[in-house]
Amino acid sequence: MRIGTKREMGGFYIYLNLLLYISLILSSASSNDLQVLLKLKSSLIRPKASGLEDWEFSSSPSAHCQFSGVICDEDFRVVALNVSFAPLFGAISPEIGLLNKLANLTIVSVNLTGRIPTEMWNLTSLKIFNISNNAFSGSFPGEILTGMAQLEILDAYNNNLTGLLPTEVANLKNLKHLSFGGNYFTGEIPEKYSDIQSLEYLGLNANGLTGKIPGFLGRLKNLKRLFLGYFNAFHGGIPPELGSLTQLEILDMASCNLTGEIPESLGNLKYLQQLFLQQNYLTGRIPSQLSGLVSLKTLDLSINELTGEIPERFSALQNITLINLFLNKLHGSIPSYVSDFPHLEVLQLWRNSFTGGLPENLGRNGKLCRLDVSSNHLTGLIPLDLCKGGALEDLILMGNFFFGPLPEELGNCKSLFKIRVTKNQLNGTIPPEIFNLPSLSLVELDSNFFSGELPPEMSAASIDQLKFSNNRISGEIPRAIRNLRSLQVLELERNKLSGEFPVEIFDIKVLSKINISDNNITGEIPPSISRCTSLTSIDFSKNSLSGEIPKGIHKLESLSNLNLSRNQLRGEIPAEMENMTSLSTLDISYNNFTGRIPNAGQFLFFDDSWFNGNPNLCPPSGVHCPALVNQSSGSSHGHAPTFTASKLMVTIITSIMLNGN
Amino acid sequence: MDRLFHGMSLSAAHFVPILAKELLRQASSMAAPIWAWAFCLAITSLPCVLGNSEGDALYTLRRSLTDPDNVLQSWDPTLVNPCTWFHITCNQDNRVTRVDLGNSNLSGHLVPELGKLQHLQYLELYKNNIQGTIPTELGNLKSLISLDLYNNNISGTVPPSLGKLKSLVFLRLNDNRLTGPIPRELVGVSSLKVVDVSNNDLCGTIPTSGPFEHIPLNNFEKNPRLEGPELLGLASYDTNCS
Repeated sequence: MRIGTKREMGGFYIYLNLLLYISLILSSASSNDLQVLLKLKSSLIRPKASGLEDWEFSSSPSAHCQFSGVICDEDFRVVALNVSFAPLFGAISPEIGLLNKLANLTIVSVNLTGRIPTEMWNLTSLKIFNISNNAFSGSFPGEILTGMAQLEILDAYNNNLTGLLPTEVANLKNLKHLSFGGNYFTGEIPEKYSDIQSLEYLGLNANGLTGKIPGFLGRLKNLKRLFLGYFNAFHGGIPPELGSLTQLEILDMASCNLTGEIPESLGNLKYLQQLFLQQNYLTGRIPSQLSGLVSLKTLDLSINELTGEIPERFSALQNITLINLFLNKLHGSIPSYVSDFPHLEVLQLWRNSFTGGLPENLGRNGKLCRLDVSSNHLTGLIPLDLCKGGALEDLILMGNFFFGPLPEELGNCKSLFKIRVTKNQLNGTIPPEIFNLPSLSLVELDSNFFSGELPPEMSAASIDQLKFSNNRISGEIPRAIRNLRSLQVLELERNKLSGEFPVEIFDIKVLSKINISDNNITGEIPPSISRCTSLTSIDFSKNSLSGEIPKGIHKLESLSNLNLSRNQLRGEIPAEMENMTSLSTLDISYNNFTGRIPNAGQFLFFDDSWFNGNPNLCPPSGVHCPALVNQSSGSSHGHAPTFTASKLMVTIITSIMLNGN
Repeated sequence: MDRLFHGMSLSAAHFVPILAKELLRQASSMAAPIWAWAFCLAITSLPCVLGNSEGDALYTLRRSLTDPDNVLQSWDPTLVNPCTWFHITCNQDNRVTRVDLGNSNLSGHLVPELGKLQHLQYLELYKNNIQGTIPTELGNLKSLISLDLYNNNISGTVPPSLGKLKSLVFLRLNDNRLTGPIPRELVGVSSLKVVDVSNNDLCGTIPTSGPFEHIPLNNFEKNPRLEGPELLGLASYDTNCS
């Protein structure tokens, strides 16, 4: 065509430029990726939230490749997007579908909501799809998976997804990791899931799944980790086919309503390291074949209905570190090979019917950390070497028939945190060094036959509860008890303690409950008690305390229970106690109190019986109160009147003068 | 007895946040798996360990309180019951009878789950900085003897459900920001000996019958909108008060 005038030429060039520019926009998808990311940013971030500050518009076509969390290929197409752990609170907009070169989409812990956009079907290059720990809702649009032939990781863990599990997952031939755990999926596990032969990790735990666990899952030959437990409610039991998952390392089916017996075939899983079947309704015996689990480190069958004994062949489980069998119906003895497990750290067998004793060598592996065999029918001595390796933290033997002493060796156990041996038949003296252990928090020895005295030296600054009631401990309460700076609860009732009340006890600022009832403690209640303002409960009843109620007692504003009954206390009830508004029980019966019972404030609500047995204590009003006239009387309880020396002199001199002739 | 979700702590660490969310979901729907409880009780006839509901309820309270002095540090929900927790007292059957958290520098708010503590006798939360409202579920605490919420920052109304507390002796709600009327239902609680609602923003009239016959008037003072003792038989009650 003939080129026309210059003006026509200019128009033609403008037209060409425009065409060029438009085609640039259309073909240069990299500047589109910039637009897409900016659109995404506005949907990802809720109005008041902030983040992704560097995602800003730029005229450079590759600027978006420098955005934080963004990786591009050589054509400036976004191939990876990693935006995590920022409080964005937004949603994913449909524009995400335009990032069709995306291979890695990781948006974790960003508080995103809304639905997963169906436009994601366009992300056919996706290998990693991780949206875990957000709040996505609605159903999972399975159709987006149909094009994602390269997908290896699909992780939607911990969101609010509902509906059925998408069956389209079954078509993903490269999928290694599938996690839908921690959502609200319902319905059954699709049988088609057994087609995903590449799968190594399958997490469907913590949903609302029902139906039978399909035996076909046993076909997933490459499966290493299987999580089906928590809040799911399957019916039927553990399919024996799961024993075919020969590569399995972790099997977690805790708390999902399993019934029936544990299949023997599970013993074939020779690489299994963790077996969690706790908190179900499993019955029958523990199969002896489980001794085939030679890699097993963690065995938790607790809270079930299992019967029978611990299989003898379990001695083969040489790698075991944790054995939880508590709350079942097991019986028999604790096998002695248990003490030979070189790596055993935790042994919890409580609430069964085990008999016999603890293996003598228990603890010699040097690694034992927690031992709880409470509520069985165990007897015998406490093994000496429980803390041989200095690792023992919890020693819990409550409710058995153990006898003999607490081993002295426990006094060297610097790691010890809890000793709970209530309700046994233990005797002897409590090893004195226990009161110096740096980590010790709770010592519960009540209802045994411990005797001897408490040690004169104590330095354990971490002990917060000492419960020694109902034993035969004698001697004095040591003054050193004040060194137990963290002590909140002191229960010494029903022992044979004597001596005077140590005033030092009330130096402990955090002491909240003290019970020394039913001993033979003498002396007076120290006035320093009023400084111990954390006290909520005081029981000094059934002792031989004398003196008066300290005037400052009303300063104990949190005191709710005060039991001083059955002592030899005297004097008047401090009127200030009327203002102790927290005091709900005040029992001062069977003492020698005098004067009138206050009749105002809190005393209006006290039971009359709490003042019985005080012959010289008068009711609030009316009757002439003899105690007001003669305040030093105290003879009605068999005590000789106390005369000071000068009173005696005066009496003698007076009688000589009267009789002298 | 101690129970530790050792299995959970050894399995993937991410189990813990999920279960916290699930506990919240279950707690708020208050529809814990009833089949589980029934089954458990029928078979074992032991106090069910499938989640001690009293411990869970108290732990829900812990999570909704702010605790700068760490007085709730010992409140460990993995233990089989809350009876070794500080400031908690249990009876012989390991049921919670007392919660003693007076003067503990707590803020945050109360939770409806407290209503599950069927053996609770003393609920002592006075002299803190607790906000929010009094949950109506506290009316379910059928063993309650003392309800001490005084000296806090509690708002909202006094729930009429407190009239169901047939053992209540002490009801001290003074020094808060409560509004609305004094519920007439409290007149039916014949065990009441102490009622103190002074220093609030209550309105309507003061009941005068039943236990209120012996409550001194100055336990109602410092409520600017409170109209004085009700005049039985005359005029309608509490018309402008809600």
